[in-house]
Amino acid sequence: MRDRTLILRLAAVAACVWTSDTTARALPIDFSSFHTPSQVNTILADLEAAHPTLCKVTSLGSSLEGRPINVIKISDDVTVDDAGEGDVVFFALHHAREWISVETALYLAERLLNEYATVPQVKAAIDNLEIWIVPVANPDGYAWTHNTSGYRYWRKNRRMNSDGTRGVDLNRNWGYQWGLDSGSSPTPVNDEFRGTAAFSEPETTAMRDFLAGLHNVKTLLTYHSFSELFLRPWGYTTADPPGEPTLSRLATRSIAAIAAVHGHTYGETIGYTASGETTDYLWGEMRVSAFTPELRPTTGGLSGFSPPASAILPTAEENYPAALALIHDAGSREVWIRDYVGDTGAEPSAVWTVSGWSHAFWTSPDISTVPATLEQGATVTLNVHVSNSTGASKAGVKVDVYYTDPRISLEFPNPSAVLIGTTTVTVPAGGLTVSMPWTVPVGANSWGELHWCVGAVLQHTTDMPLTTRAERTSNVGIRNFQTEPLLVGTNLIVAATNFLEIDAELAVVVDRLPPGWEVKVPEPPKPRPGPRPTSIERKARLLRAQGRLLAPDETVYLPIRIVPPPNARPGDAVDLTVHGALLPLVPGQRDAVGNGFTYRVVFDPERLLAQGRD
Amino acid sequence: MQRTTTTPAVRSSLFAGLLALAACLGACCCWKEHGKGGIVPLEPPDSRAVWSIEVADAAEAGLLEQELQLQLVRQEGTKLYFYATENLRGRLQELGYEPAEANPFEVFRRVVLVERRGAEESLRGYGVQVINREERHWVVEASLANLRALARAGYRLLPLGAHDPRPRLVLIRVGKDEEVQRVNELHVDIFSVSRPGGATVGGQGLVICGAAFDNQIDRLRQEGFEVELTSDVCPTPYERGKP
Repeated sequence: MRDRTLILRLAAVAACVWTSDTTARALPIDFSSFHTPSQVNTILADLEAAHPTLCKVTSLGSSLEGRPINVIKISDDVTVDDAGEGDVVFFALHHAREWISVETALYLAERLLNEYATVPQVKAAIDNLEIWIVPVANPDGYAWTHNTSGYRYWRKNRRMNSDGTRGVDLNRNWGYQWGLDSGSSPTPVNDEFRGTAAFSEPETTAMRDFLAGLHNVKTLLTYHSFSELFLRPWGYTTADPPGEPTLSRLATRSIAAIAAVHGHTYGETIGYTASGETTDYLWGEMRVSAFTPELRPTTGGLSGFSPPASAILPTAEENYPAALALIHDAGSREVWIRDYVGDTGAEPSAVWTVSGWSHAFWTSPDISTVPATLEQGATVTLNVHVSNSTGASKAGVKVDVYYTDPRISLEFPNPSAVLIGTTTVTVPAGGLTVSMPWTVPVGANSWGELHWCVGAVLQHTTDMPLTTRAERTSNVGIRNFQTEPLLVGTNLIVAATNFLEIDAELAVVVDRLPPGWEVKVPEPPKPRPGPRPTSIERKARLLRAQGRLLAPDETVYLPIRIVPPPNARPGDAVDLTVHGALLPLVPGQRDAVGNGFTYRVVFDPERLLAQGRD
Repeated sequence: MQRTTTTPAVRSSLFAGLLALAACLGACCCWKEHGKGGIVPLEPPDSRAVWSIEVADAAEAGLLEQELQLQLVRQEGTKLYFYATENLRGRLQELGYEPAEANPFEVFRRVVLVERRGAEESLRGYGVQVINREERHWVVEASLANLRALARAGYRLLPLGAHDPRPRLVLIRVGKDEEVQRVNELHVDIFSVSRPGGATVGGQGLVICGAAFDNQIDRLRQEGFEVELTSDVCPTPYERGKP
């Protein structure tokens, strides 16, 4: 009797698979049930066929068992790889049993495509961006949860581990802070098994390489279920990440956007750590804002992974505005600050090259003081000019202005930055200059120099910064200032701190000077002789890194010697720009972060004078 | 003679029936093989020698893989196990590493079923970790060396089935928010964390719904957590809170 029941059940499942896989290909997507892997592929193909000029389906790699990891690209010029457009990325189904994440991703794709013709905001986003949606990041696991001989609540991929068990948790296999027992398991049998090494799995490797191959990733959402949460980095620790306010504001806005649809208010924290997960990699190694929405339902056991199909649409609907808002941030330039004279607001405004930064983005002409010359302890007027590209007045623009020690790598906001002032203004179409008092710091900064960096951060509910790096977002502008008296002597002391939390190589480049003037930058120390190099030295050798090596939080002081020409006369001056970048000692993409400082060096028969200048 | 015709619906049913029959036969075969015991491989998965070096972190391991095409076996803390040719080992030495040959029977571990015989304490004496206790067998995890010792001692080892091992569904009651992290550190698969309705943060405690193996449940109980085995679907009488 029992066997007969089993046969009947299997027959029912088989009949269901038979009929559903051969039904007509039709859009709109029917969200009255969860979709099988083959149905997902059919939907992607149908979307491509229905919108051939707006979307294209490709594979970003293959799973362990050889299934393609499909990605649907949505853009106005979809066949063109446009380096000038930002990239927004959506992942779903890292974990095989979290089916509702697939549906949410499919809904997002279809709705964006459908609304292109009718919703100006969507059209603008698709015209200005390349949007990439990966509905099934773990195709083998997904297939296993749909397989009648498989298991509906399988979480990992289908790796055959050396101990005879199956699976690696793909969301514990990313490279940033991989391997911590506090947030992942070293034991293959466990559901949070992190793999034998970071990026040991073809699925995570494919996603990492896909991201590295994009020109300008602006933001990423990776959908999971369940619990109704909107999580942000860090996952590996309960400590705040650098730039926490930026992530926090985006999360708060997203939660409000979700709640506005069906009244479900997602939480912000999960209460335990997860190391080697996706968003930590994005923020930790790329400073790209990334979030993990944990979808419906709020609570439950295994049933939480298989909510009724009636939950699909409300879940997808409520998450759509939050996704759209991030897409809009990535593609819009409503209010902005110039990074240098001639900056058009393009993101990034500068890139690192062998000659240093392509533009001196630390010289924002939109940040200035009155008087221009700063005296220690004096209260000056700090002006921040906000441009407005919308063509109309923009109310509710929040302007936060900070100053900080200008370490070679800067972020705004950052934990050590001092808030000078904050104000919320209406910016007319022609732009607006915001003024506030600033009492110039007395004494030297933490590395004994008399210069400081002022940073301004613009936020509006429809135009938020997605990173803390000035060259990556037009919502952040920075300007380095030097206070009087001037630096005296023939050496400029340049200091750099590695704030990246990972080992890095410091690259320093000084702009070429007029004939006769020489600048001598100290060479990095030669590798120590001996058979036992340190870890950072080994990494540098592996990468053939030539620069100075900095462990996390380590600071280095570089005396840069300036030699004037023999025929120099009193008052002769040159402009000297020092570019600095930290290149992380990591596999894959080595994303340069840093900035620089521009000095005017004046020759005096007794000494050289150097002062900060624009 | 009258020809018989079949409608699409009938054809579909026939096809479904055939599929069902095939699936059923397949399942029966698997069960039979499982019942016979099958063979548990107690040899390393590869005949090549395994080497180890000390590394600082995942980035260093990744660089070795990327730059030297090192074939990684496993990273365990600061220890990196790998396969390497003599040339590659020479290159590693040039870079300052000190490759040491590892015992593959200690490096590789397996999870197997062990037919119950005698007391669990005796089994543990062979250095194995009991993951689950089933009616007729234990699920254990151990190094190949320890499993071979177990087999020599007469224990009957069986291979895992397609769905082995399966963790138990559990409800874990914790008193404080911080204790959720402790449960996480024991690698319990946490599905959700709930707070009894009306409770405030830091108030009446939390209920974790998840899955855990018997060894994890043992550890939780040793540490004073209240663990309740539950049915296939956890009850949901709680409002979600923010732990």
